[in-house]
Amino acid sequence: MKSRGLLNVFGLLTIMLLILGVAYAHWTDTVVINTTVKMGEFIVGILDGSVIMEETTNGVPEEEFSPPKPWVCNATVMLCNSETSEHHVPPQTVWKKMIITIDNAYPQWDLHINFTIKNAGTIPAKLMGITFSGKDVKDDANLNYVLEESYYDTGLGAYIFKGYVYDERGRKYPILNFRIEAYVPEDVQLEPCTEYPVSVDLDIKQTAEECHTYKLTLTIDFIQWNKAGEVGGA
Amino acid sequence: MVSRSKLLGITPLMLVVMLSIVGVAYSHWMDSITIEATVNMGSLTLAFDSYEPPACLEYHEVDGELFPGECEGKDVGKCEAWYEDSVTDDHTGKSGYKTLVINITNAYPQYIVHVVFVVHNIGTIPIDLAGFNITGEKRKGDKKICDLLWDGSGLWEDLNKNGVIDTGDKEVINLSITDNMPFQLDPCNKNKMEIDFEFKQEAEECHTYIIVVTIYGVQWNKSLEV
Repeated sequence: MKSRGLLNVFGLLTIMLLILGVAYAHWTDTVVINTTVKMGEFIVGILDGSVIMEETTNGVPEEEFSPPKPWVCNATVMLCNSETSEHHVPPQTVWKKMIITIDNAYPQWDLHINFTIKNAGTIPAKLMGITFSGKDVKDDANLNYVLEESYYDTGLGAYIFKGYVYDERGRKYPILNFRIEAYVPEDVQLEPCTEYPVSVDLDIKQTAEECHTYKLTLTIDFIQWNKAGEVGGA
Repeated sequence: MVSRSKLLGITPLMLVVMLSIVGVAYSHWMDSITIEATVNMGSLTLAFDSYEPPACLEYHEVDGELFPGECEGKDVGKCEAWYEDSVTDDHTGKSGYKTLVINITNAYPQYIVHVVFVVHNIGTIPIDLAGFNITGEKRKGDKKICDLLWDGSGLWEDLNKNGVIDTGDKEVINLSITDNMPFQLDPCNKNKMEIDFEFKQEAEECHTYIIVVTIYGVQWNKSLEV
């Protein structure tokens, strides 16, 4: 009777050990990959306080004529739609829109604007394209342009765009000449935290019409550097 | 009736297709800057002043001095002047006239008449009054006899019709414009000017002399070029 009880105890012990044995039969360990993705920032804009403007008539400022007449035509340049880079230390504010207003313009009056474009983000940007639209408000007619020259001047290290804007009367009636110099690398890639000077020259032509209002819009598009080829970037 | 399991299978597939379509727009980061320029053009309009009408002043000369009125107080010659062709500047809304008409009748040698007029810059751009040009013709009734040529101080009949003043032509009218040309006329400003006529002995009886004086105003920054 006693021997049977002992047998039962051993049997029970065996079963318990078998059950527990599943847990003790292998060693376990873990490693954890904690991934934090800090996304970059893509901001290109006009650098705060970088705009310098000069007005001339036949290349001479109105105030240097004899008699001086600095009041005849005047231009104002305003930056709006600001955006501040969160990644920049200290934070960098750039402006997305430049509004130029010219009052009482006349032939041979010129405007020269220098400003700086900055890639205020953390991702390289590529210039993708420039689009132009214009309107003669008085005639409610569209303006067009002719790009006479477009090349990279290796000496200056700048792209030069030169041409003129004309109205519905045709190309024989230019309203203004423009010349844009963009001091960017030849591959038009703007590196993060880097500044690139740009100059825009406008010269009102003799065939511009009195009392007309011309509205011109130039949009410069940028794309993340590695996507430029895919969407036909510059 | 689509079973629940089938729906669960289709939904992710549709989501993938939709995202792949929408993905074109979201697949790259883009940014742009815009330059917006508004050019308000000015206006350049030179006109005769609508406020002050032109005035004819007759004189006679005694011992090298001018005295008002005709000789001995008579009223023989007649001069009338007026403006025509009204113009309004689109920009400023100001008005004036483009033509000054001077009508002299029953003129005679040594008849002196001065016509005073006012030019007004009714535009928004300074005007350089750069100079003037005087042309004319001599008529008998409706028939043109010859052109009149101006040498800077007088009008000559171009009798040999060669377009230049030379031997054979004769001076018939002394004509000068008293001014300080070239000068600048700023917007809203006026300037009083005068055309002086003195008929010479060589002027012919019963003939009509038509004289056109054109005053040139150019935008202030172009005066040197013209």
